[in-house]
Amino acid sequence: MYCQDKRPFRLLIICFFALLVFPYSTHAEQKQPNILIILTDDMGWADVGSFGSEIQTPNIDKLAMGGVRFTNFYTNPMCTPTRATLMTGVDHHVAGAGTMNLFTAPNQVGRRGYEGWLREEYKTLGDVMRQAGYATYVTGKWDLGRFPELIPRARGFDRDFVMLDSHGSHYDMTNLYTDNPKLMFTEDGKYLKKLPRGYYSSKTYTDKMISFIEDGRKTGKPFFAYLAYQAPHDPHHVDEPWRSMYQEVYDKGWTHFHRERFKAQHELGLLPEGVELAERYWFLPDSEVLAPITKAMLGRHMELYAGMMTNVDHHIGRVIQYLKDIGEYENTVVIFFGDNGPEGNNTFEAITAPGLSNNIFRARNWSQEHHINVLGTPQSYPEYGPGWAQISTTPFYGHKSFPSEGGIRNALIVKMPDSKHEAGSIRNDFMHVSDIMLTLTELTGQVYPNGDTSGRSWLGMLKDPAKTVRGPDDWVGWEIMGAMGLRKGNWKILNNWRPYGTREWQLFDLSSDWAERHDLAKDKPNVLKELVALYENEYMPKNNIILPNRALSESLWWNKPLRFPMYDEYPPGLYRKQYIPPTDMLADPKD
Amino acid sequence: MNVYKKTRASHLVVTCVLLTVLLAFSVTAAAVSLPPRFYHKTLIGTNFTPILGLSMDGNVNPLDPSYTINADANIDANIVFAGYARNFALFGRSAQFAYLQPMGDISIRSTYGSANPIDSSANGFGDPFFEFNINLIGPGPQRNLPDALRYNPGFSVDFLADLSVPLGEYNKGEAINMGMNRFWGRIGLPMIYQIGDVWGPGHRTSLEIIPAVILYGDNDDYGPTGNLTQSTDPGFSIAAHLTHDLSDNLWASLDYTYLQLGDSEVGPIETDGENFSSVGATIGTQLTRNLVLDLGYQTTINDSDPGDIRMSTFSFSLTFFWAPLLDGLHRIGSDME
Repeated sequence: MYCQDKRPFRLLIICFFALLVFPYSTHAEQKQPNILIILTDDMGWADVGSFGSEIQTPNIDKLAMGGVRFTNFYTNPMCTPTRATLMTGVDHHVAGAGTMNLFTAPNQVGRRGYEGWLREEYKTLGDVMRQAGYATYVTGKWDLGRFPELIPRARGFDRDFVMLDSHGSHYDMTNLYTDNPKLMFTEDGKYLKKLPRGYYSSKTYTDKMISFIEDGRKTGKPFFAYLAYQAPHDPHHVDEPWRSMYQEVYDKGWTHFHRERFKAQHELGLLPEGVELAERYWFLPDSEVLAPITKAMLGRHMELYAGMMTNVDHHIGRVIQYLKDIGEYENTVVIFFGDNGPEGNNTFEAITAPGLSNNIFRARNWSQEHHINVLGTPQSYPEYGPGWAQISTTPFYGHKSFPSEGGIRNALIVKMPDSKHEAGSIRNDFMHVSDIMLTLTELTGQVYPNGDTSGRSWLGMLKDPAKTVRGPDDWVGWEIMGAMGLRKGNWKILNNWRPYGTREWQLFDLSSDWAERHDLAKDKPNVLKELVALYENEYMPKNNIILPNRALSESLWWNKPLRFPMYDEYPPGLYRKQYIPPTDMLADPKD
Repeated sequence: MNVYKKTRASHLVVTCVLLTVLLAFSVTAAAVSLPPRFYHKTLIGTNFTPILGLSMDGNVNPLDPSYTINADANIDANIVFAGYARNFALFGRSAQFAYLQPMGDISIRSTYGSANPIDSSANGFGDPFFEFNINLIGPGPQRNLPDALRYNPGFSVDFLADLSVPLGEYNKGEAINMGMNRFWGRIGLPMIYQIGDVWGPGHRTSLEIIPAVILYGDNDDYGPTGNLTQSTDPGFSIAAHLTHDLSDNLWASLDYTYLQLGDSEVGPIETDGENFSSVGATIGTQLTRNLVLDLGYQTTINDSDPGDIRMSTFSFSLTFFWAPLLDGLHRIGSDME
C-alpha cells in the first residue's frame, strides 16, 4: 500500500528528470548540427567573388551558392568591438570593448565597459555551446583579452590555438610596439613560448581547427568551431604562389576596379534599384591619371591583399573538404563574414610614425618594404590604404573605424542543413553581429544569458524564408571613437568626423542610397529628429556610450586635404589622349 | 594612405632597385670568366660605360684565350678594359650588346733555364671584344619601370656570342703581345637559377652557370720569327657563381671557373689541351646613383707543377650607367634624391 502510494510520486520524479534531460537526449537523437563560424579580419563587403569581386574565392563562392547571401548584415566598426558582440550578443560598450584598447580616450580610461577586453561576467558563445553539449573550439585571432581569466580556455572553449593580440606578423610573433614587442598566443589554455614550425596564420589556424575536430570526433559531440582568421588584416603577408598570383592585375588602378565591381554587383543582383557608386575619396587621384610605375607600386598592395584573400579561401576550402570527407558538412551550419570594413587608415604608419619609439621598433623589425618584390614577405608591413579600401567596400563609402556603411556592412553567407531557402539566394534582411549569439542559443534550446541586447535571432528566418529578422521599428546603433550612427528600418543617421563626414547628423535613405551620397537631413527633419532622439535617449544611455574627449580621428580635418566634390574626368587636361589619325591619312614629309 | 607619399617613395624605390640591379654589369679580362651577375637583366635602353682594372700574375697572357703556357716565365699584367654596352629588346626578348677595348701593359720575365732572365714587355691596345647576348628563357624585356621593378630571374637561359677582332697591337717575334693576331670567339648559354622566392635588395641569391664553347682562328705570324701558324681546337669552359646579397647594397659571390682548352698546333708541334680550375670571390656595391663597383680575386688551383697554368687576378670595375627615364625622374626630383 505504501509502495502503491508512492508510485505516482516516483513517476512524477522520473518524468521530471526526463524533462530535464529531454533537450540533450533529443539533440543527441536528432544529431544537433555542428556550427562553424568563419570570421575574416578587415575584409570588405565586396572582396569575395560572390559579392562582386574579381578576387578568386572559389570555395567561399561555393559556400554562397549552396547557402544564402545577406546584403544588409552589419558588424561593429572595429575588431575587438565586433568580436565582443559576436561572443556575447551584447553591445561592445557594455561588454568591455567600448573602443579599441589602443585608442582609449582619457575620459574613458578606467570606466566600466572601456577595459579593452571582454568582461568576465558575460557568457560567451563558447560557454553557451558547451552548455548545450557541444565540443567548443577556437582558432585564430581572439582579441578579447590576454589575462588568464580572459583567454579562450576560461571563456568556454575546450580547445584553442589563438593569437591574443589585435594585429601583427602572419609569420611569427613580431608585434608593432617597443613596449609590447611579442605577440601572444595560447594553445589549449597555455601561453606559447614559440610558434609551431612552419607557422603561417591562416594555414596553422586551419590545421589546428581540423585537428581539434578530428580529435573530438570520438566524443560523439557536435562541435562549435570558431575559426577567426587573421587574414586579410595587414600586414599583407602571404606565401607564394599567392604572393605573385595577381601580379600586374591591379595596374589598372582603383578607379577601374571600383567600376568593375559595381558592375559585377549589379549583374549578380546584389544591389537594389537606384544604388549609386560611392564618391571616390577626394584626397585620392583618379587612378587613370597615375603614372604606370605608381600604378604598379600601389597595385602591388592590392595584389597582396587579393593574394591573401585567395589564400584564406584556399584554407576555408580545406576545412570544408575535411568536413565533407568525414561526412559532417551537410550537418554543419556555416556562418561566414568579416569583422568590420577594410582598413583604410594606414594605422601602422600612425603607430610607428617618425619620432615615436615604435619607429625604431619598425626600423628594426618591419623595414623590409623598400621594394615591390619584398612586400608581402616577413618583416615587410604592407597595408593597402584608403585607395584600395574603397574598392573593398564597393559600392559603399567609408572603411574600418567609421560607422559609414563601408565600415560596418559586411558580406554574410549562411549555409544551413535542410535549408528551405533556395541555394545561392540573396536576402536583404537587416541583420547584426549581435544576432548570432541569440540565434545559436535559440538553436540549442537555451535562454539568452547576457541581458539587454539589440540582437534578434535569425532562426525563424532561416527556417522559414517568408520571415524576416527585424521589423521596421527595430534599430541598431553604433559608436566608435566619437563617430556615431544608427539605423532604423531603411533610415540611417550618421555623425562622422570631418572631413570624411560633416561632424553633424546626416540622414540617409538606405533603401536606395547605399553609398550615403544624399543627405536628407534638411528634407526630412522629423525623421532626423526622431532618430537622433532615439540615439541620444535610448542607444547612448542604455549602452554605456561615453563619447571620447580625445579621438584619433579628431585631427583628420587638418591632416587630410579639404574635401571637395569629386567629378569623373576632372581636372581637365589630365585625361586627354593622343589622337591617332586614320592610317590612310598618315604620310611622310615631302622633301 | 598618403598616395603622393607612396608615389614619391615608389620612385625612390624604383631608382634604388634599378641601380642595384645594374651592379651586375662589369667585365673581367678573362673572357671565359665573366663576373657574377653579369647576365642579370635591367631596363631596356640603359647605357653602360664599364672600366675594368686588372692586375694579374701568372704564367699565361690573360689576353690570350688559348692560355699558352710560358714555361719558366712569370707574367705581370696591368690592363684596363673600357667600353660601352646597351640593353635593348630584340624579337621580344631582352638583349645586350657590349664593346670592350683592352689596353695596358704586360711584361714577361723568362729564364728558360738560364741564369740571366730575359725580359720582354708589350703595351698599347689589345683586340677589341664584342659581345651579344639574348635571353631565350626567362622574363621578358624590361620595357618600363614596372617591368624593371618586378624582375625576377627565376630560371633564365641566354644565348651569347662573343667575338674578338684582331685589331690590337701585335709584333711578330715578340715574346708577348697585346693583340692576338687571330679571331676568337665564344658561344654559350648563360643560365641563372634564382634561389628563394624573393628577388629584391637584400634578398637576392642566385646560382649562375655559364657553359660555353670557345672557338679560335689561326695566327699565321706566330713564333720567334713570326713564320709559324698557331692553331687551336675548340675549347670548353664553364663558369659558376653563387651570389648572395649581404645587405641591400652589398653582394658577394663565390666564383669557380673550369676551362678545358682545345689541342693546339704550332708549326709541327702539337700539344694536348690543358685544363685548369680557378676559384675566387667577388663583392659588389653601389657607390653613387649611377656608379657601381665590383672587386674580385681569382686564382688557379692545383697549379704547382711547372706545366700547369698559373694565374692570379685581382680586379676592380667601375661601371657608370644612365637611362633617359631614370635621369629624367632624377632631374624633376621624383626619385627623392
